[in-house]
This record gives sequence, C-alpha cells and structure tokens, in this order.
Amino acid sequence: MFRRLPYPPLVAFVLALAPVAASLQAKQPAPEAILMANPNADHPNYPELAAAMDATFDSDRLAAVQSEKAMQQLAANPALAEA
Amino acid sequence: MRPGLLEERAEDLRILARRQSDRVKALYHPQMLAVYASHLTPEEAASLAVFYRTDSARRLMSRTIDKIGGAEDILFARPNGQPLLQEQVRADIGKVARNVAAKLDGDDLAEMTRQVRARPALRKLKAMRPQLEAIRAAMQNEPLTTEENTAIDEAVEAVFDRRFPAQ
Repeated sequence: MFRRLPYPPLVAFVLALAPVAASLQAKQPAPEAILMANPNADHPNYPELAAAMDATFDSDRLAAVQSEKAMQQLAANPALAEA
Repeated sequence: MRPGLLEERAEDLRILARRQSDRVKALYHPQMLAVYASHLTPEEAASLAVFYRTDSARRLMSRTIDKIGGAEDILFARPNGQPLLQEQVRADIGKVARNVAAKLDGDDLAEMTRQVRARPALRKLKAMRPQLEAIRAAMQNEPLTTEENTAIDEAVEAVFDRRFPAQ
C-alpha cells in the first residue's frame, strides 16, 4: 500500500487557480501568440514565479490533510484494524 | 486497533513524503520553468509572481488546500497502481477548483476580477494548463527510489517494533 506515497509534489496545484481566473475573463488570447518561443527563457523572473507559486502553499497543512486522508484509508483496512 | 498506531505511522510517512515531494519537485523544476517561459514574457512572469504573493492569492490557495481532500486521483495512491493519466489530473484539478469557486463570496469575486484586469498574464494560465497537467501527471508517476522504498519499509517496521516489541 505504501509503495506509492499518498503525497504528491505540490507545485502543479497552482493550476487550481486557472479555472477561477478563466471564468472571469472576457476572451482568450490566440494560441499561436502565446505559444511563441520566448527568447528570454533563462530570465530569473521564471524561477521567481515558481518560487512565488510554491510559497502560496502551506505545505505542512497540506501534508496534514493528506495524512489524515491516508489514515482513513488505512483504518478501513481490515487487516490493520486487527492490530 | 490500538490507540495511536495510525498516528505513529502518519507522522513517519509525513516526513518521508515531504522528502520525496521535494525531490520530485526539483527534478521537474526545469520543465515547469520552460512552460512558463514559452507562455509568459519575463515581465508577465514578474507580474504573476507579485500576484501569488498577495494576500488574496494566499487566501484562495488556502481554500484550495481545504478542498484538496476530494482530489482522490492526484493525492492518493490508487489501489490498482496504474499510472495517473493527464485526463485524471485535469478532472481532479477541475473538481477542486469548482469546489473552491463555489465558496467564493462577492468580495472574493470582486477581488479576483480586479486582479485579472490588473494582471492580463493571469489569463494565460488557462493556455498553460495542458502542458502543466502533463508534467503534473509525470511527477505523480515518478517512481520511488530504492532509498525511499527502504525508508518506508523501515518506518512501518519501526512503528510495529515499538508497538509490538519482541518478547
């Protein structure tokens, strides 16, 4: 059961903001415009954005939520319940 | 079940999980940056970084964590052990986001509207989603290292050794 930890990396959960923002926007930018290669790919603003997104999460709190859920799953295991 | 047994395992696993999470995040960090760079100018990235450090963004993400328990596929190991698909990532994130959005009050919506208008780069988040979902699925499917598997086994065994010492 523990071969795969019930705790994933966090950073991509920033995606959860996207539907909220999208629901408020009037129109989408053209795909070809936003997919153009950025000549400044090594710019320090990108890691700064990643750091800002990461800092939004309370990792300890998320870990507590996930652990609680994992423990609920464990508690439902009949073999463990007999321990 | 003996009182405290599950709590002991939870604490051990929480420590191991944070360590594994940090490793995988670092592994995929360059790919995340590449996605940002392919969609955002440096100025837009800076604007979004400022947004994510605002109180309103932190409040919104705090609520996301509150609702995260419903994201079964992303957050927890599935019994069949099959790889997580990008479609499942999309479905789970959508479910969490809808739950959070449903709890937004008038002030929250007004603030979000103000932020989106003030920061056009926020509108680009949606276009980034497919690529980030694919990376997110790969992160979830990243196998544990031999060391991580060993640490998990030892943590579980240690709890049982403490609870059921040899006679």
